[in-house]
Amino acid sequence: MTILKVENLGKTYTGRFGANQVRALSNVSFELEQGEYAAIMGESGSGKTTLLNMLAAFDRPTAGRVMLEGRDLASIQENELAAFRRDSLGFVFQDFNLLDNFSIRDNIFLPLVLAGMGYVDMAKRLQPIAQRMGITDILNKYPYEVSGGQKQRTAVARAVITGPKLLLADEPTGALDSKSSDALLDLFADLNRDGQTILMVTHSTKAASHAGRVLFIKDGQLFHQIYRGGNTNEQMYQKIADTLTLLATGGGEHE
Amino acid sequence: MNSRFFSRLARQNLRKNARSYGPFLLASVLTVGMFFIILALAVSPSLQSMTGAVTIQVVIRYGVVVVGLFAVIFLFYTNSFLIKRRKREFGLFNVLGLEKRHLARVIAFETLYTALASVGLGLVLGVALTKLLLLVVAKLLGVAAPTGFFAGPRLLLVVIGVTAAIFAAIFLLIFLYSIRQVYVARPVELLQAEHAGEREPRAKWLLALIGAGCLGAGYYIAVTTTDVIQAMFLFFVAVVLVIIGTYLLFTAGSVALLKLLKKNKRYYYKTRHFTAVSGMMYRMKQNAVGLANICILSTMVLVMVSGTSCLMLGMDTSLHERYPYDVNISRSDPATIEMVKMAVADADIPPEAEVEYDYLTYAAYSVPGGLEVTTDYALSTESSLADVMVIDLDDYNRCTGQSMTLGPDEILLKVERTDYAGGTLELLGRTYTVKAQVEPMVKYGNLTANLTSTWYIVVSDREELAHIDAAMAESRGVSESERYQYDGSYQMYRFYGFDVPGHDEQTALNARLAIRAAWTKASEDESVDLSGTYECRAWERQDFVSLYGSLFFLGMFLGLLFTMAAILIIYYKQMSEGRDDRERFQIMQKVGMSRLEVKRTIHAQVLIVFFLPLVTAGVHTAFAFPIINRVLSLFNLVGTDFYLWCVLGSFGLFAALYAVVYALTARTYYKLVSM
Repeated sequence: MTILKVENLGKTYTGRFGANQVRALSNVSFELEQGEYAAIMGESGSGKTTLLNMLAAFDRPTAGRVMLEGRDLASIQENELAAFRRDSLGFVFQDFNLLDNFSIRDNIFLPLVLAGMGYVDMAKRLQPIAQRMGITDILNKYPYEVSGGQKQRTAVARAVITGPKLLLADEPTGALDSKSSDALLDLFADLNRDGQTILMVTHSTKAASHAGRVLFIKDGQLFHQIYRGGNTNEQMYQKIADTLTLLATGGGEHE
Repeated sequence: MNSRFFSRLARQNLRKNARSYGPFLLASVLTVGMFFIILALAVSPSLQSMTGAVTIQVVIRYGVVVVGLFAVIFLFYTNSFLIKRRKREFGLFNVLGLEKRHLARVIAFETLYTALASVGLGLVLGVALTKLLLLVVAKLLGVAAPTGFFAGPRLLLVVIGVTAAIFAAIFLLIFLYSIRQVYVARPVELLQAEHAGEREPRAKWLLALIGAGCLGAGYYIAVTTTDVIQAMFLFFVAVVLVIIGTYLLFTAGSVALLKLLKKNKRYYYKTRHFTAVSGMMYRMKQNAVGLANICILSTMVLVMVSGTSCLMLGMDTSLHERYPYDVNISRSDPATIEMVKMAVADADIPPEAEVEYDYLTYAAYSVPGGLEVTTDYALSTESSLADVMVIDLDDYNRCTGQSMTLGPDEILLKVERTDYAGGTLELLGRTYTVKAQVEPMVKYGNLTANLTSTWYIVVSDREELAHIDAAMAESRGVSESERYQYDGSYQMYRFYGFDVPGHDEQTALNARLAIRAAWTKASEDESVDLSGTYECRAWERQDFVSLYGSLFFLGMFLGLLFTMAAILIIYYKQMSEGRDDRERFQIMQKVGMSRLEVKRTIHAQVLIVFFLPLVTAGVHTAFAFPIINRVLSLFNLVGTDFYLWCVLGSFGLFAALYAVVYALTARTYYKLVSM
């Protein structure tokens, strides 16, 4: 079943008085199946983040559309958007985006509290997730008291506690050391095995090599995609690296 | 790098930080201006030459000290806000290669520009407004406005010089503080300074309890102190307790309360409470002291403005209490009253509403069931000290237009500044039945100005009055031969009061002159007993106006200054919060809070932070009401209603001003948060 359908998506930023039109995305189309784990790769400024912002409905496209479970994001009213995002999407950011004045537990509860859930239900939901993320011991601590890896796992817990249809991750390993990165990627793979659909934006080859499919974006256009097939992570890593080399040496002209 | 570079950088910095430096500059200009004005008024010979202006200048000199101290604290405090906020900027300069001594030079130029602008503009403002203020004071005093400027050129230069020197010193202090901040910190710390202290505050229960205790004790004192003399002293104790209580409750108490709310999971994990409780905890940690400052300042403004305006507006009431008639004469020798009447008639002044009665006054202790006369009045027992005035029924009925009757052992009673519930009253060995507590009573101004309780007693007849007089003399061991000879009485006085036609002040003053002339003439004859007083309301009025007017002026002046301070502190609070909040609300939006919810949450929190000090100040003022009312009764202002209106008026005015500032600040705040 297709969960996410992106059709001819385009975004053009217009400078003041119509001058300096910048095309951040053009004609991007792809589909994401239920339970898929995909990564979007590209250089800085390639349009990755713009794409993610469209998918999360943080920003509106200037062309094309995004369908989540058959529903056009553009059709959602501004006042419903927050609730939609809260219920259907989970976010993991590079800089964690935890609130300093909430404990780890309360940070994870935040979307549920916003959705109006009672404490007992929240606590029931939290227990297995916290265990899985290995953060049961630090639930009463505050973000400034825990490590970067723990912070990111807290952010993942916050993202999945609502049971989102799609987990969006923006450079989730960007601020982590290699050991924490590995742990986080294992966690993502683990979540994916249990059926969580994940879309990750990254420029880390290592991170992308965990995904089932990697989409390459260059200058705002979808450039190439590779499927894992039966490859191991290492083989996948090699394929990604090769593609990136091709991209960097100007392969785009031969498309 | 030459100094041109530094001075240009300094100017750029000031321009770039206009949103935070603008209000600071405005506040320091106003502070300089107000200091100049009050200093000028304190030394102005024009003010000196105004009638009765001795009192006002004494009062205003206190004002100079208060404004001076205030200027130091206030400018220092607001500047520390600015520097804290700019640490990041300094850190960046530092990283970019400006050494700390270079930074110090930049700050030196910045401070210099700020100081020059403040002192320059402030002096201009002060010079421009002093004349205006002088006219206001003249109006308050009810005298003709002085001609010309408030001072000669030499004195003007002295005042300008002193003002400039004092503020130069203050800005030097500010400068030293600022560079110290830069010198002690390392660049990385400077860069991160704004993010320091995000730790959740601990609940300090003990401090919170002490705070609640102090506040409770202060309130208790204010409400329960019934004695006027104690009220004077205890008022300051209560003020100190309430100030301590306010600081502790704002800092420790608020956090403790929020922690308590947080512990209650049912309450805490509700959409609206969740962000509010944690947000408030965070805010209170950073802003509690500032909010407490605002609260204290607001309370001071309210108490000062309401108290002094009550005095000023109620001046005529207290003047009439103290001097019930245009001319009031008390004589021990009734014959001299006739002399007065003749003198007034000779001056062609027809007396109106004449009142004449004989009375006794003496001091006593109020004891259960009666009044006790002694010769030894110790200060420590002042609280039960009573002033007693006795007249007979004939005089009472005649002067008040009543037609009461009394049996031989019956009396009428009126008690002021205390209550008496007994059915009988023992006085100098006799027990009287209190037939009634009455209203009205004969008017006698001298006793209204007292701290002690006053007991008006009406006895059945002249013999009873004479008996009390004799018993009094006896109790004090005064022999018959020592008593006054002309009527054989000991302490019997006669009161004679009258109004002049149309209460015309000049006529009243003329009457006074005529009486004084008669007096001087009579004093040549040694056989005439001249003990007693003559008081003319129009004459005494000038003293009243001078004292009350100067208090009122000072109250308004300081009220304005403190209001300005409170407003500025609020502004900076909101600005610095806006920056912190922006980040937090962005995160919340990403996690699924709608814009509307964000806006609502912000609004609720801002509202609480903004109006918490105002509401607390209102509560403080309400609790201060009884004690201030009692202190005011020392100024012959007895009516509660009147003071109540003054308090409500002041509060309404202040709250309106506060709301305007809120509206202005909230706009800037939303802009900051939603940027």
